[in-house]
Amino acid sequence: MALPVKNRLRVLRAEREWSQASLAEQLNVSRQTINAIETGKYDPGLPLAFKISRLFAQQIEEIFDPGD
Amino acid sequence: MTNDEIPRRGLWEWIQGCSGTLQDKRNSRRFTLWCLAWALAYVGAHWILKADLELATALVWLLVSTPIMLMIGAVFSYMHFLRNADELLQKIQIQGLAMGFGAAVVFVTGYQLLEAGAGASEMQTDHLLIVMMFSWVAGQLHGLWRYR
Repeated sequence: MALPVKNRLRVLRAEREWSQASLAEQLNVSRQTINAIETGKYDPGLPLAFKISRLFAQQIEEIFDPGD
Repeated sequence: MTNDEIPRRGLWEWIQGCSGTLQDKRNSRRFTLWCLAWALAYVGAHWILKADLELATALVWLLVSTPIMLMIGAVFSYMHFLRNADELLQKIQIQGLAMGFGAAVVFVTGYQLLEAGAGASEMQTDHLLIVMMFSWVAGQLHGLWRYR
């Protein structure tokens, strides 16, 4: 079974003082998706990972850590 | 503000809150309307066709084809909803579909064995539909719970 990818989404969001709902709106996804990514229950697909990377102006690898 | 604490909500509010973006909710409502129209047409047509009435052939064809057309519309509406859905919602929906399909296979093959070996009465297609629908919904609820 694939291990979930660790990520810094919650930290980055907290730094900007955004709610999950507000981040979800900016990324055009549901709040549940943001929550599932932050808690490591769900790994986003490439298009969403790129959107997140663009929104926070960081490389994907700086946000998501495959942990290997 | 980082309001991560989600206030306690009822089951229906929880399901609604987990049902994707505004666009997903709109597409989901459209699909529900197609299904309601189909259900009404199906029940109505079934009732009329079963009630020993002298119907013109054209009317019989109309009664048979209306629910079929509405269900085809519902299927296209669901495909549109699925294609455009939030990616987590897509995953949840696919899990629901897999559970519905899997339950149908288990039910049909299991029941055929019961018919052959234990003398169970002949399977009704209505029962298969009910099993599929319930397991589809159960699969979705399980997905919603898993990724809550």
